[in-house]
Amino acid sequence: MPSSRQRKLDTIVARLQLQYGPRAIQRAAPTPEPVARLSTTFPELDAALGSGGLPRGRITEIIGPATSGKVTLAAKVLAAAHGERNALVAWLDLPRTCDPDYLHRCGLDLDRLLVVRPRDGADGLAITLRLVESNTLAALVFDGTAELLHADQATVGGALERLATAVTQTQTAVIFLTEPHAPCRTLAHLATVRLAIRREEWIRRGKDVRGYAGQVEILKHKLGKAGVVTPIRITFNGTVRGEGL
Amino acid sequence: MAEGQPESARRMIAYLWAPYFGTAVARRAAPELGERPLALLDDQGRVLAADARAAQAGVSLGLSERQAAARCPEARLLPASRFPLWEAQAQLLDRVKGYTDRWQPDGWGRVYLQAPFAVPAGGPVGIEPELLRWSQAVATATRALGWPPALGATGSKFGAQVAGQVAWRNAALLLAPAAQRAFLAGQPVTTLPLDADALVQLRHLGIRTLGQYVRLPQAGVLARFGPAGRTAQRWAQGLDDRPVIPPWENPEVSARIEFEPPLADRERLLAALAHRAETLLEPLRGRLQAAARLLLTIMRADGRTLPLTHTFPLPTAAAEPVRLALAGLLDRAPWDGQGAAEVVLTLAGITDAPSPQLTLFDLDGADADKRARLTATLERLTARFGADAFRLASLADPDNLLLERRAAFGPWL
Repeated sequence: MPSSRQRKLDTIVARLQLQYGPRAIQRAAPTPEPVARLSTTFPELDAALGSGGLPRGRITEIIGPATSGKVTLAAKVLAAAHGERNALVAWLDLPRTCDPDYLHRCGLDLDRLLVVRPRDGADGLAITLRLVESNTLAALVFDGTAELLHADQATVGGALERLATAVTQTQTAVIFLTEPHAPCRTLAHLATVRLAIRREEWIRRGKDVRGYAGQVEILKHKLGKAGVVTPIRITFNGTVRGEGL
Repeated sequence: MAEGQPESARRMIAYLWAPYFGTAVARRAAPELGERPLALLDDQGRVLAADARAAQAGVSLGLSERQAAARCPEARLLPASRFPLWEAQAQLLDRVKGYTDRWQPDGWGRVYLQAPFAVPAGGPVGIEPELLRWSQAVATATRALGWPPALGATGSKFGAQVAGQVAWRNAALLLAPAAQRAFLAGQPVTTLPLDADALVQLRHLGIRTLGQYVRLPQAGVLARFGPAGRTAQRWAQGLDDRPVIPPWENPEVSARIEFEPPLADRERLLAALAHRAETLLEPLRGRLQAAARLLLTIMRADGRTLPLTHTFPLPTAAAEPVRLALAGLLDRAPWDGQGAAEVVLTLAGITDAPSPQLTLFDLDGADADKRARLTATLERLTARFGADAFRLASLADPDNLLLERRAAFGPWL
């Protein structure tokens, strides 16, 4: 039962709004907190994404064919996460192609990298959900979105929706790696950021391949501007050098 | 497009070339060569450069000496190593580098340059005064070296290359991006990077110009000429979005230390190397740079040289990781009871120092608790999915030639 003081206040507010308009007096609402970001280690791509990189607590999808650089880009994001003290990251390796030597050359500390090898896509999603809910990881890469197509799509859709909800309560950046020939429509809908990466040309020094130049297009960005295309450059010299790391 | 640039602005790309640069360098170095057709050969005896008369007779790059002699019997075929070709190329590139932040060599006396400013992409067909001034400055600088340049500039690499070749000697052809397509439409199909078979087929089909080629159905071009034909079709419309890629450079810093008499005490050697490494690291820290690799070349007292390399997980300019790396390399070196007479210490792969991500939010109360909580989560997941699903990777043998044997997986728990 509202107190008499509250009733009096409501009456006065109603009169003032009637006299001066509904916007004359409004209740203040808490401003939404800005979403934290995780650097991709490519400065131009970070600038194109706005506010310095991929959003934490959100789902990002990186789409590209084999050898396009999507694994390198994802590894570089994990390496940037490792820049934080004691940060842990995970690589969910459905296709069984995880190369720890390459990840190490990309700058990852293998002691702080959990490699997950689930039986199938459904198990992979379930494990991803539990790991995200634990809020112990700075970033998680889900490699092998194509495997999700072999699972029951209703189960996959439900799991992805639960993941999209759960991840917003954490600071974990979840990155899915997708082949263009095996898209997942639910994932495309739920992802906050979708990047398309392609390799443009090899960088050569004489006959030696020293790296490659590629392009990343921001297909979708709920927190920024989509449609931007950014060049990236990856070089090999014993380690795998991105433009900023 | 980088943040801050208007959407309608785009970079202009210039193609600068000194016609018949290789043979011109040879004739300048050896005037006695006279007026006979001339072609230069590389180490494998393949044509590396040819002058106008040899090229007209059919001597093209990559031909063998015998093929070149068959096509142009009166031509002189000389090894390129006799002439200062590489020095002249380096001199030309050093000169034009000062006018751009992105440049890419494309052969002898040929280089792509990206203009260090943007011009409006659409709008009226006209040349921006800034582009004109910049092009004139580049051409003047090249002319000062004694090479009458041809320069083409427009919004794409292919367009710039064709414009440069049309401009010919000591002239420039500048095109606004909007005018590129119309210009390319009238150019011959021989400017396209297609193989000889494809060009013959196009001739038989009556396709003479790029405009005609563009009007061919895309599916047909793809079916007959493959992805290369389809790419060429895009380039012919000015849709060549290849970036100008500067040559990859590998900066490094080195220091040499001599020990008289040769030093066998490992601790003293480590201390000397760490002290010397610090003198190399301090300037890097000042410039916010870091080194990706540490190279040691040790000359033992018996004259044997030991090259050793260490790659850092992350580029670093900190003293401690370098000292640990030095200790590891000295432990690995096969000393055989010998001391070190001389050591060359090199910090290679110098790049901008990576900055750790600043945490805007307090992710967790205690970092040390994070791993324990993850382990607890994994214990529960293990019961459902099995222990094999959760692995920790390690580099068991990082120098193994077989990639599959470099890393090993062990249990996380």
